[in-house]
Amino acid sequence: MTTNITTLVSSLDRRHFLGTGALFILLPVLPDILPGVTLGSITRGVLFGITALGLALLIRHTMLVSFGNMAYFGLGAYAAAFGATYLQVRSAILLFVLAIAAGTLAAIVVGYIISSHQDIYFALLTLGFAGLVHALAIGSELTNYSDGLSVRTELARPTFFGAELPVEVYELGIYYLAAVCLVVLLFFAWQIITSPFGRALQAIGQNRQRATFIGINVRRYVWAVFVISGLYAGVAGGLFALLELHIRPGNTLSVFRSGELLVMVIVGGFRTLLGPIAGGFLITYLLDTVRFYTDYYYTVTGIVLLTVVYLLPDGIVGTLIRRSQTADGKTSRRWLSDGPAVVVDSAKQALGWVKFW
Amino acid sequence: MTGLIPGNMLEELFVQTLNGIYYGSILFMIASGMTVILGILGILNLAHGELYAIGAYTTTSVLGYVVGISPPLSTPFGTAAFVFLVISGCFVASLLLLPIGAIIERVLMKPIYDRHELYQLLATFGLLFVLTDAIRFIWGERPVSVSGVYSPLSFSAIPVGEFQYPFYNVLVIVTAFALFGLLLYFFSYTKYGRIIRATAINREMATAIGINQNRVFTAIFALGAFLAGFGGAIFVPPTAANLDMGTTPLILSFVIIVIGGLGSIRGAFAAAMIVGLLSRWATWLYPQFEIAAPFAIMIAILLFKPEGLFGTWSELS
Amino acid sequence: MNNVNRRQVIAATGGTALATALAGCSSLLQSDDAGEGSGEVADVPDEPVEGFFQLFLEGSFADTGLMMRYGAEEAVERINENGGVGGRQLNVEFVHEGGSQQSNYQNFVEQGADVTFGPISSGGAASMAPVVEEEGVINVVANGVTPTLFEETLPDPEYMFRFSPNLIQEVVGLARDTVNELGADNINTIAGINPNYAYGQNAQRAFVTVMQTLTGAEVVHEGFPDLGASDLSSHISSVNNEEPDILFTSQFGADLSLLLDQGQGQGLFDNIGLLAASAGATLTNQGSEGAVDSGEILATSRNWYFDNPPLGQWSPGQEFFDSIQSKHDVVPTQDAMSGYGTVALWATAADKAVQVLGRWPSQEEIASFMEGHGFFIPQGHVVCNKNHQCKHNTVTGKLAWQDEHDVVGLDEVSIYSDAQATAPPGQNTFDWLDSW
Repeated sequence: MTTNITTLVSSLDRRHFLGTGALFILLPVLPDILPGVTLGSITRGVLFGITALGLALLIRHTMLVSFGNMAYFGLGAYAAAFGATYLQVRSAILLFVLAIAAGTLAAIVVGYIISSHQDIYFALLTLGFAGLVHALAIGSELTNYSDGLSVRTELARPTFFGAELPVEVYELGIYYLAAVCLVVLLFFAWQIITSPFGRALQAIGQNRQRATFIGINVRRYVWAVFVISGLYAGVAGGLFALLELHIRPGNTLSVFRSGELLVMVIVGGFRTLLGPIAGGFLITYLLDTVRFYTDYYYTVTGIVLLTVVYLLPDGIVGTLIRRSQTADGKTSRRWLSDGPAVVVDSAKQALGWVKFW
Repeated sequence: MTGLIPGNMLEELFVQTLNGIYYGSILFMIASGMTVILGILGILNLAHGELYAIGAYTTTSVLGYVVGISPPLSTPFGTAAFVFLVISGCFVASLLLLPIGAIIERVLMKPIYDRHELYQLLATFGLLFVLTDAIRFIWGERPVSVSGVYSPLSFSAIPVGEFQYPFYNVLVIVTAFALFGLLLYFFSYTKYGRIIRATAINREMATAIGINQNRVFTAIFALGAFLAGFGGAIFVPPTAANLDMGTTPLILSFVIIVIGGLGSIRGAFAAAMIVGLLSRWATWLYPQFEIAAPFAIMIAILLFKPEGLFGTWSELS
Repeated sequence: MNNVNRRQVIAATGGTALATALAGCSSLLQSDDAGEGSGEVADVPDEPVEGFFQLFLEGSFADTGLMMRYGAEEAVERINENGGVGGRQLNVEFVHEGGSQQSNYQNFVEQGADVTFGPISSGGAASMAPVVEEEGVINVVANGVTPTLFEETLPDPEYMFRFSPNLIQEVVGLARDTVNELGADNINTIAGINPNYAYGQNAQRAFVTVMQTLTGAEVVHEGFPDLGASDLSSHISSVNNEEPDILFTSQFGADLSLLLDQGQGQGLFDNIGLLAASAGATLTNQGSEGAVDSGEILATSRNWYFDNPPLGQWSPGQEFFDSIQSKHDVVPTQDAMSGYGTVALWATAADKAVQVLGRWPSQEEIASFMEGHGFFIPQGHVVCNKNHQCKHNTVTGKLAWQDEHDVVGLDEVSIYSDAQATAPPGQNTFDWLDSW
């Protein structure tokens, strides 16, 4: 089954990404159609999609679970906040770069330490580091304890290339920046998976010992993919900082958030590329917006997760792909020929499945 | 105002150490449930914190009743009876967790034993979400406390030099040590306990010699849930139960069982005491380090002695 | 009472039936006429006003949030029974603030909010402040008591207002009370146990600064346990060891209860002169008789205490008390008054604006009416200063069991005026304290 999906993925081409890109250009229309959905919440969906995608890259082949990827997200966000608060940096792009650098650097350091460990120890180490970072952020005056730091300088939003933009334009700008990052990182992820690097990761996941025997430096590969997941998280953290403009430990660094991230990945389907993104959107929607409609949004989220665990182990998108594949030979070839339409279609199906509309 | 400096320091050291043991006792009772389930079933139960919370909430209801019917405290008999009623109240309240644990194991965990551990983890995570709302549904959003339990018990304080030490804290320490003793005895010296450990170490062989693995698993999960609930029950009288209360014990439990060794009861006890003592000494001497300390220790252990203080046993090694 | 002229009452309390109702003086009105309210003015939309109030409805702050909600609902009810705001009914939806105060506010605006209230969290208020200014829908902060809100975060607010006094006010009032109680010469050492976040840290810092100026005392221990900590025995032991003249705490609710209980068990009150608990009145409905009678505890009830003026001597207070108690079976605390006042501030100003302008005002117009606006609530007369912060007194007293009501309350009440407990306009709180 794994092989089928990877074959599937490798037969995707540029048109699919353009298709996905087209979809994202249209999303900002949603707030005008749907009540309760703001551009901010859609942007959050995008950036958690990015973070989930990064985590999925780590899990999908190596089956190593990280309980602490939000630490890199949070560190990225805080780096941007530091830049604005302590260094008076006004440029949005520069803050963004700071965030990516911080997240990636942290992942390099932590990854180096943990990459030779396996399974539950790996997972618990990621948890340990996440908990440590969270505790330090809450307890430190530098991060202004639990009140957090602002990403604005003197109440003014960061500037794009020196220009101070009106609020609506800025928000739209951040959304498109996020969407562009998503498409680019999606492409990047695809490249990784279909490359020799990806195949090495696959080998590691299937049988770690055998991988070592055939000469793969397991530790290096694990470290590398961990850093990549940290980079994705850092990108998302920077976008989050630019979006929210105020960073607090509760919504960025808490260990529970890392758990939610894992849920996004699994619910979407960690063996696919669109799955984690869809998962990011879905879970963000459930936790952000559904809580305005019912007090019991946790139950809804829990049931979604349990449904996936028991009935849809490949995740929502994963199951859809598998279904469309085994149905009949013709259907699977549609992927090859009808590119963008099929991507858009599937995405709609995946989203519609959970009554997003 | 202060007497001989060394004498005072020594006294304070003694009291802070007692505090450390008290905190360690609470931590042990919280972590014991998780380590039993992990050690024997190989499942990391993320709903552990919510089971703990259910124990706490149930206890507030039960103890409210107990306080109403207990005899006056003025006599030694009265005090002893009150103590007995409180402990039994906690115990009885936690019994609710037995059927809950059993049902969880049968309905949720059994169907996915042969799947990858990730899914078992996620099942318990989904359960965490659902249980949080269940608690809210039953007990409401406001913090719930038991008045009239801690205050009277803390009146009968025990003098320690110039200090006084609350009786309730001593009660907790004694209970934790007793629990530790019981668990150790059960798993190491009774036939049933040995059988259970055998099941954990080698499932095929256990089935071959006729042990009903299903029953054992259900019983152990129920036991783990009970221990989690009992931790909550003992914890709640001084404070209040609220909806967020499960998160920190869940995380601290992870830390404790990693330090002690996954699945090891001895390890959980030792680790809980160490973390308890270090946290309290830190509060006394170097407060900034208090929250970060357990994580730092956990990371150190994972890096240098990953099997923990007392080693990991059964399926996990 | 029979001699009271209806017009006089209405005129005295603000000019409309709404203002009179919110003042709590409706019983002085003789007839049930809706009165010459602004409801008769043309050019006001028929739809109700949509308001949103974000506060903590669950978790460790749930008690504060619920109490605040009771007070707010009381205000809304009185408003709607007396013609509404400028003739429009007021709908207020209560939402749990959680950790996302900023996106909540944006969500409210998206849903078409005419006004928003809350939050309780100071960090949350700070994070949403710039967004409020950008979106331009008035927000009245209910609690969010950090001094930095209008001093550092938002020095020149247009749409953001705050009803509650900043937390330093009650700390300073309490410090003065402590000095009055023990005498400056008898205070040589101070200790502090405060929750480990900005609120606790600021409170401790303010208390220490004031005490050092007034008495020259020395700080012997400062502990910052986490909010919601289950065990304070370590901090208590340290304090016991130091035997300070005063132990200061800004802990509230369950944490304060724990401190009192564990403190009692460890003989805390034998080792300190007195306990100064700035948030003592949060124990009103939850505290136990045994815990508060264990030693001398000075406390504050922030800007309002139910028995001051004593019930029976001030009918607006009595009516408020009776109403909350009969509906919710609790004694109202300062948080209930905060909820009430937050809504009343906006409602009375908007109502007045409608009267003056003859139509529904814009956000900017309402905001300018709110500045310098004076209004009556059961607490008394409150003014919203030009800097968007309301002016209050601070109520302090000795924490003691109130037999008559079966709750924890204050004996020997003192009042500290605004001038004694807050910085002069334009000066930062900590600068002011440092300058004494």
